[in-house]
Amino acid sequence: MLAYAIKRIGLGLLILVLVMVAMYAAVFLVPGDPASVALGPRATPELKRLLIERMGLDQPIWWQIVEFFRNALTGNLGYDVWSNRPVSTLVMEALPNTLILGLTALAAALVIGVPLGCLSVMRRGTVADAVIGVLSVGVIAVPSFVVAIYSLLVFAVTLRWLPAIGAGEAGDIASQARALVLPALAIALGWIGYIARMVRASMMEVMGEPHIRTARSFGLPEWKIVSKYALRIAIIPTISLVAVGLGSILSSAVFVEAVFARPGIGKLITDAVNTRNYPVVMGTVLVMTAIYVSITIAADLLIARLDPRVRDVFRG
Amino acid sequence: MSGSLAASNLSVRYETPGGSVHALRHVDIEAHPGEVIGIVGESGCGKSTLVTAMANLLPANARIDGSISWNGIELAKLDAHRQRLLRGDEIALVSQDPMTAFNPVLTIGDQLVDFQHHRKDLGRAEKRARIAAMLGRVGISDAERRMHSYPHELSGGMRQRVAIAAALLTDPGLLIADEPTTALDVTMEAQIIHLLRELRRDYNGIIVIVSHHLGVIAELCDRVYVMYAGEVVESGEVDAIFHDATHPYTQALLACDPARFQQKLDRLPTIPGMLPNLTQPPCGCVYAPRCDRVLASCGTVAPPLVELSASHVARCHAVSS
Repeated sequence: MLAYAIKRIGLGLLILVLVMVAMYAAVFLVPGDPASVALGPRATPELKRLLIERMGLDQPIWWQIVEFFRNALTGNLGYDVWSNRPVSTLVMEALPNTLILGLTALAAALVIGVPLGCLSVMRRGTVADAVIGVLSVGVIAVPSFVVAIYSLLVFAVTLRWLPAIGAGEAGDIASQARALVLPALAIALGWIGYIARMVRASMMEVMGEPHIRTARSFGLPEWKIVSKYALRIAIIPTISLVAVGLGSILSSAVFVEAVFARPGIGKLITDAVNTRNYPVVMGTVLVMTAIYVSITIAADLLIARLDPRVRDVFRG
Repeated sequence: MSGSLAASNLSVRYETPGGSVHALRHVDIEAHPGEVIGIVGESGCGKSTLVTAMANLLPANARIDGSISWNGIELAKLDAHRQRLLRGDEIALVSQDPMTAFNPVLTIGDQLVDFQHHRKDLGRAEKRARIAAMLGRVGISDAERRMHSYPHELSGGMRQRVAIAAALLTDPGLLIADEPTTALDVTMEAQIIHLLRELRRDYNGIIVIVSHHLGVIAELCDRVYVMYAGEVVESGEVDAIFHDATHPYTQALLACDPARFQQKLDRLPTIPGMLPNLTQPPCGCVYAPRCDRVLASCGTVAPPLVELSASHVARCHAVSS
């Protein structure tokens, strides 16, 4: 198990390096030099040179990458070109909002989706199963920006139940929670349906396996068979799906943050790309990639924990 | 706990989109405490449907006619909850394939603790102690450590021993072993037969053993039911069936058993023809199309049960005439 964990983490670090190399290559390949694009056509040559030096763009590209990682290891992700504030501070300010949004959405999707999937299996072929099926496919089909805009219209503008914009008052948990409901709903709704379908499908497959018949032949109650004997196997594909889906959850956070004018990582990246603020883009991408890679590794380790057969494959 | 098992005129059909499959037709079976009965026949003869009916595990599309009772209780008339209370308490099933019979992500000990869930009087530690003792009894060394193993860490023969131990832990009055040795190699098979023989000495419930392997049946059983195409075509004491087989199908089946060949043969004997389509069972004798002693009446009239001696019966026109 330890060897497996080390192997996965090493692979994760390699992915981080590759992503940053790709990012630098992208900056290098974009036509026109970033300084002139950022400063506009009327910038003086001195100002441009100054900016190029500040961004380190006069150095060879491999040196820029090495330098970036050397600084990153000490916690220095560079400085905002315009405000001169450390990128790490900007990211740390924005990150909690986005993480809270993404994790709330994910938790809501799991807490609602998994039991719905189980219920579908226990009541298979009944009206309840059909209703859950139709609703699941329905919510998967609705894009989350539509959910975002309509839920904003209905619950914030017309009914005035929940705030329309922002992340709530600082220090006021109730107001922050109220501000979280609609953005989280916009992201979670499709995932509820997705997870319910996924759990139902893998559960139906597991329920047909001989060991379930064994559990039945010993008269175990159906709820125990579903929740202990089937779910532990059936949840495995869902965990992989959720880990991969977290990338898409974080990217939907980008426009959900835009719709609800919510401060967060998504807003930070959008603004930085628009102003060619490369140090901010690089720093933010590194942090997001690191989060994404860590979640994938955590999911792999969790699967290995749940399924002893996977554990043995990677042993040694 | 001990009781009697009785099926009389039992029929089971499966409702499928392609029509009704008459998997079991007017089957009579009787077993009393201390007896070991064998059910033998080729694949698709209804053996599994019969034991599934005994264990109350028929799928939702199965329709039961006639009677199957345990201790005088009509099994088919019980509601799902009462059926579940019998399973794993009075009736235990050792399933067919030990390789897939256990949950792959739970330890052996964990599953065997769960399987004793009807014993509300025992705590977890007591259940684990019973498991360790029972694993030792079925010949698994190092039982404490094995309880922490996952199924894939055990060999096939060991898993079949665990499956038998699991069934015995519930103190069943009726122990059903569905093809207990089919998935094992010959050495393992011999060991499991040996184990089952040991167990039957100090077990006073009923054991039902299903097999297409005649040797297994001959070794272990008191009475044998020979099934063909959903019917019991001949039944009797094990000696009567193996030494005095009367029904043409039983005779053909015995003739095909390589273990009974007297001399070296160039070709293995087979029974020509195929099983009838069970969506439309023939109106006469089910075996008539493959029988070498077929009479004029065999194609049109279902043969009656003919009593040959006290407990030896066969369903055949050729025997009655």
